[in-house]
Amino acid sequence: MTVALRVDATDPTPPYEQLHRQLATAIAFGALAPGARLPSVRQLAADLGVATGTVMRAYAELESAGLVRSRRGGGTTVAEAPRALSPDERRHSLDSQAATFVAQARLLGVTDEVIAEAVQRALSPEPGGREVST
Amino acid sequence: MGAGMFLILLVVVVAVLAAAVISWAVRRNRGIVFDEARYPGLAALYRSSVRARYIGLAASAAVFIVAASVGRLGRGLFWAPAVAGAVLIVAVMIGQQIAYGGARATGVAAVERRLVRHYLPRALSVAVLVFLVVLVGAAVWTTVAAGPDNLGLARAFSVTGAVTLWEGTSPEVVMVGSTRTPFPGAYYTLMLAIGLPIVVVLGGIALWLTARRPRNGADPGLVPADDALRRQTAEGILAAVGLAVSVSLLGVAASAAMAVGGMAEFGVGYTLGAAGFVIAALLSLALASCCAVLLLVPGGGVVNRS
Repeated sequence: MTVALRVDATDPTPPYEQLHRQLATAIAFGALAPGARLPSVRQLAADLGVATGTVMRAYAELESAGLVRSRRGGGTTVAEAPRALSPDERRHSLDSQAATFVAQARLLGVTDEVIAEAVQRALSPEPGGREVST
Repeated sequence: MGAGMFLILLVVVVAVLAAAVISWAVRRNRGIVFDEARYPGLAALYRSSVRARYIGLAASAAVFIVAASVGRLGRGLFWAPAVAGAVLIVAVMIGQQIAYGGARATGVAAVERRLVRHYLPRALSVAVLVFLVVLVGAAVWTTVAAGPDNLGLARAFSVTGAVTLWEGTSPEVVMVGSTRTPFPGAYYTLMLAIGLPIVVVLGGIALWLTARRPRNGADPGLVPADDALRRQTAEGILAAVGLAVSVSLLGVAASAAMAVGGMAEFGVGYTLGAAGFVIAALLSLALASCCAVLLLVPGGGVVNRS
């Protein structure tokens, strides 16, 4: 299965974060199996038309989260058994995703109250609310 | 076997070889078919690659003639194949660089690893490697075995040994010496030692660039055509290296066969050695013919329109 990656230049989220999130999702969903080798930093950067530093940072974030392993000369591979995130890491990841959501929602020109209401609706599986699965 | 018989056999072998190569060339797929309107960048890259290949072939033929005429006593012939091969590889690289990003869609990519070995034709790779090893082995031996000629240049093959002469009914053993030129000694093989590493390294760089050329691997319509173009380019680069290697080996083996074969009176070992060089020369001719066809009639397979 081909895992597609997209970097949206109009998205306020930094490109490395967009990459990190998509790769992390692909690993979490099993689209990238344990042991699967990721493309080299240079190749992926050239394919996407982004700086090598962007891909390096995304890979570094994945490695610090225990999702991939990098070996000198051996490339980057998906970790055999991705370790569970610590409570701090979970909170950090949640904060990061929430910040992205808020930033995008504010671009719509709505108030913080409206944004909070939207989050409430998403959280409550009541009629009118919408459950979001990721 | 007389010289006449040998010549006839050689002509028959070459004729059969030529017929096989022509038949194969006619049957080869000639192009990569894809929706050019949908992928204009890839189409530009394809056109640029094909154009560069033919310009490179013409340029390398001209460079071969010029390089071959450089130096005394046919010395230029020993570096001309490598120089011509290098020119061809550079032309292929330029053709690819002109539209390098043709298959890329900025911001979209697939999680895929593209390595040189994914695009190399296996049989040709093995053949070129084997011939390169044989060439290096043959050149090392001839360099070591060669001695100076009457000008002091390391391009002579000398043998001194006992020969039985029949004077009437009684045999007489006398020590005689014989020298044959030209022989691929250091005077010639130095040119190979300079030229071949350059063409091999250039070929490696060109193959690496071919594999690394960016693309939108997430587009299922583009990937097969792009893969076919990469295979075609890699085949062309390898064929250029193969042509340089095989023509170089042809020169070394043919000149060594003539010199060593002329020492038949000193023992059967020289006859066998000469036969080995003749076989190497014929096989080199076969590989050179195959590489020429690969370059002149680019294959790559037909890709379904999407």
